[in-house]
Amino acid sequence: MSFAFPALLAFLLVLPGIILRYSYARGPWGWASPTSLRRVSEELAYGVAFALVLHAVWLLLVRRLGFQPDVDSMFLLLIGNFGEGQRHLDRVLASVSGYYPWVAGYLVSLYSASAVAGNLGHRAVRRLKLDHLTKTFRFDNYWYYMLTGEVLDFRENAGEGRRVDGVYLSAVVDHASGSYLYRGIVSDFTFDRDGALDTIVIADAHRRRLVDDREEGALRSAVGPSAPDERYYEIRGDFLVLRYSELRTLNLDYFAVTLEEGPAGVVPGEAAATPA
Amino acid sequence: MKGRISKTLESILLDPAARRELREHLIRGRDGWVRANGKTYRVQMDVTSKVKSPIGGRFAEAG
Repeated sequence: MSFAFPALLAFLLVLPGIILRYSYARGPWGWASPTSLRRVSEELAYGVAFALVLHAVWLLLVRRLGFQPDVDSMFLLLIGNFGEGQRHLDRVLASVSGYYPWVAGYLVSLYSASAVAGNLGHRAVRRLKLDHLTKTFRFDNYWYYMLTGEVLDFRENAGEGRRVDGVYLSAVVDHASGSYLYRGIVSDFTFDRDGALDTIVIADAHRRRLVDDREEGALRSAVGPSAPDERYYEIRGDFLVLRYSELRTLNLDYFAVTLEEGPAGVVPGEAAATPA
Repeated sequence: MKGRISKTLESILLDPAARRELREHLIRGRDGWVRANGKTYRVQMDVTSKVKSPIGGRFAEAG
């Protein structure tokens, strides 16, 4: 028995736990949902724990269906020790060769069930908003919650936050010619393979040089399109992609837009001057 | 698109004049009004005065 076979068997046995964890953390494909992929070592530890539970449940299930898995042979294979003079080897070989399709069926069905269970778990948590209710179900992806404004929906923030229609982002990016303040409405964002924030896509992007900050106490011009802030200029294009690794600081502003009842006419407060 | 852009906000962003108005309010961080498609919308900032961040503390204060 080579050293590689017990390692391969151990991997095949732990795989259901890893699949469950991955499909739960990743969520359904195409869903705008928080992903919370951890490091491989962490995933492996979770995978072992979940695999033990999954095998216990699956063994009970297949026994009820009339299939009697030879767990002893599986353990002997796993440790690669067949006793003195290999006295258990014949039994193990007979078990594997005689029930190979059943063993393969057991593993494949368990892998499929793990993927489905993880996926359904993710769907259930999101649909029932369990991640908003308790930290136990919260995905380990605070960027998702902050960039979508879902942080306002958390139970601990109940009564504090209001409806959010958009998230206004301000970020400082260093260029060779100096630092610039980029601003816009968060439209999308992506994560890298490790689950870390990779890019932020903003709509209605505009920017100004950071050195153009106003002096403390300086008066602002009137609010409204009649007096636009001349320091900023629009960046042509539908979307601007900011690489997270190139951002120095980042600020988020949540805002709401509500339809005012009544006829459209004079806009209140349009000509009011406000202090900076 | 994972960002939170409501239908109302989307309709404002599609109107160039309304988008510019909205931008000025957002730049200044002040409440105000925006006209788009013959309707008036109220822009409200500071919806998160006491919200706790998911990574601990109150990030609104830090901003």
